[in-house]
Amino acid sequence: MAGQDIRKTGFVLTCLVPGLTLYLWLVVVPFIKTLELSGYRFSGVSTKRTWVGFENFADLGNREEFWWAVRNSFTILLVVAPILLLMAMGLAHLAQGDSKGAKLMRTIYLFPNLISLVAAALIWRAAYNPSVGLLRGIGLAGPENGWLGDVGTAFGAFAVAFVWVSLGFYTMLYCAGLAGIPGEVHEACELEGAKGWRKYWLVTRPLMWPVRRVASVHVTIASLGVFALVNVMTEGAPSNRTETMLHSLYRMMTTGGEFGKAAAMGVVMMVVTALASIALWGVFRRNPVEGQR
Amino acid sequence: MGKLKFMRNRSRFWVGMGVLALSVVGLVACNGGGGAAETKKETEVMVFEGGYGKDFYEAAATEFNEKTGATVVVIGDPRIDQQVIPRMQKGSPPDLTYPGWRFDSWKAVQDGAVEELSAALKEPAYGSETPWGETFNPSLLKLGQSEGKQYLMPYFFSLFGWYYDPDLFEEKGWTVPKTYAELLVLCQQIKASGMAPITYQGQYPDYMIAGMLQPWILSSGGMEALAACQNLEPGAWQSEPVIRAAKMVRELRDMGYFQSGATAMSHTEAQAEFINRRAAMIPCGTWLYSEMESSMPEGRRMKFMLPPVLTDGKGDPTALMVKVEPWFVPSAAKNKKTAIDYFKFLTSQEKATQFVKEKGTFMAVKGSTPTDLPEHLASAGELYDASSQLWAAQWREWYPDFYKIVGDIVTELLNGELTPEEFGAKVEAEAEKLRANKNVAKYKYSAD
Repeated sequence: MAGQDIRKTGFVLTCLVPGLTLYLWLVVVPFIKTLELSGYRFSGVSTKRTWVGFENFADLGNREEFWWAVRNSFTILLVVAPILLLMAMGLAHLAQGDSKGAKLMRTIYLFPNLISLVAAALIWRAAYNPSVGLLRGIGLAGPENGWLGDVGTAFGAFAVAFVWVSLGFYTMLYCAGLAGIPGEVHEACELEGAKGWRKYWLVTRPLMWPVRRVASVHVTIASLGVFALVNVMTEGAPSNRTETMLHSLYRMMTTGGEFGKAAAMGVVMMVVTALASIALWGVFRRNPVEGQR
Repeated sequence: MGKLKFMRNRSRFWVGMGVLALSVVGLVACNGGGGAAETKKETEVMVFEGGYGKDFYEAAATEFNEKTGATVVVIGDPRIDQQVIPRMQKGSPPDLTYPGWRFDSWKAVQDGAVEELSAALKEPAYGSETPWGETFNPSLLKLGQSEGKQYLMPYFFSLFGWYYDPDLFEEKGWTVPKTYAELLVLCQQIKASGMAPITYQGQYPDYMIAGMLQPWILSSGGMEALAACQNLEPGAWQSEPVIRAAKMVRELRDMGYFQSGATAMSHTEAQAEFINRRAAMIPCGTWLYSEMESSMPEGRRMKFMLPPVLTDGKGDPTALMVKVEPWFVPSAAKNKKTAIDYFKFLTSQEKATQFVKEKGTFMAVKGSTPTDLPEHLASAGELYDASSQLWAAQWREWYPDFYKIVGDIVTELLNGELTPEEFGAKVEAEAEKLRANKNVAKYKYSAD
């Protein structure tokens, strides 16, 4: 019996070898190398590396750019993303049922997702253009230097574009979640007299737990990984007000001649992502529906 | 039973370890595969395929190979830096490269990865008795030197100033301002006519630093003041000439002479404002015309002008900013001799003249001054010939981080968040941080 077991286990593990090799090679090794690299002063344009320990991290901490990037990334995660999810949940509810409005909503909510991210970024850039932009055309010229040019409004303007490009996807997720709630539950609600907010809090929301968890994990990844939108729309301008962690990392690596610091930034991002994952795990640890059984 | 379970677990453990070991072996095999570097006979030249393409270098390589029996291969790409960087990291670089503006050449010099060419410059130039080094414009050659040693080589170069539309100026009866006082008067006229006097590429503060801040530091305090800034001398960024230049920028802003919204504009957006006559003047380099050519309205003309100067300043009013994108031979290159010979061929009198003719730009090689240039370049060429002081913003390449930070501070000045004095103090504080940072190699700008 033991022999058979070993053979079976051996077979399974042998099948794992190629996958494990790839995982080690493409994930674990780069991971360790990034950690290692973050301890070197390394310009990236020669073979020269000098071991400097934590100097790169200290240098990052001394830069305004770094703190703006952290601040903006966290604002996206903690402020913009919750608003985004709330809006998506609202839209998903509006898209339920057979009314004309709901049908229209179902038709249009995914439009922004049909165009590529870069195109969307260019559209928003053009809309914000302070000289010939769409917003100016409809009387929303904004501050003197335009929405994206003013240090006070640039981040907000950017966040609007971020919500615009992301909203459809989360609305779709929530729509699917709402559609997944069995009809009997709704009937039962009606019989029991639960309506509106009460129904939402006591029935819909708990039943949406798996979908909300997926959406939260996804939005966390998306928030911490904002890159293309910044790169196309602003490149962090004006004065780092729209800089994000990932874009800052990219800039240090590609034109800053700072591979070591970019690696340090990567490590910081890794820690932040890990903490965010732990927090999410804490929030979504228990399915409330299962818990009530 | 307990014993059996233990055995089973132990066996599993060992099988697991075996699998892990196999994976690691596979990993090592994968990594080892690409490692073997072969010795190459070919001389590799990696060039940035920018506005002037790569065809000229390729044709020259064919010609050079036929003449000398060498095997020079030219590899060109608009993102050639992405190929040069990994090669430099691995220590198997190309033999000669023009990696383009994205590549941080001075970092490579600082790391000792760039070949010193002083000896080669003393050798005769291609097809001539003159030492190679003497065939270059010394002001441009100097830009690739550190402590008297030559590392980076110039090839073609651009001039940086302001552009205006001569037809528009004639139509409206405006005259090109030579002094800052004239500029203020003109701006008032232009603004009164309903047009924005000046626009700028606000998303990239580089244009504002190159087109206004630096020329006005120079105009106010002379070359010494600008050199002091580039050399990070204590107090230089807070000196009177810097404050004066910042005041001028701030004044133009406060008077509403900059196009509203310019801070948010990318280079192409601001330049579109200029060519579509929504703004009368713009700071830019001599690449402006070719960059905007495809979207230019029919028959649109543009001419180059110097940034208007102060009449009571110490600076040379003919001072003109040059921009060079360097070539270099990596010190780990395998075929340095052939690479240098090929570059000598590229910078020979014959090839330089041909480049200027074919590409319509300025060359660092003496005696290749172009004739029959189109108006947008000829206007710059005249000022170049008449200039008694060429200068460059070398701190931009030496200290890219600091330069970026100064750009951010310039944006704050343009947004009205900082007074000229606060601007000076903030930049000086950053300069102080950089001075104190012993890990960044410092260079010295010498005014000639």
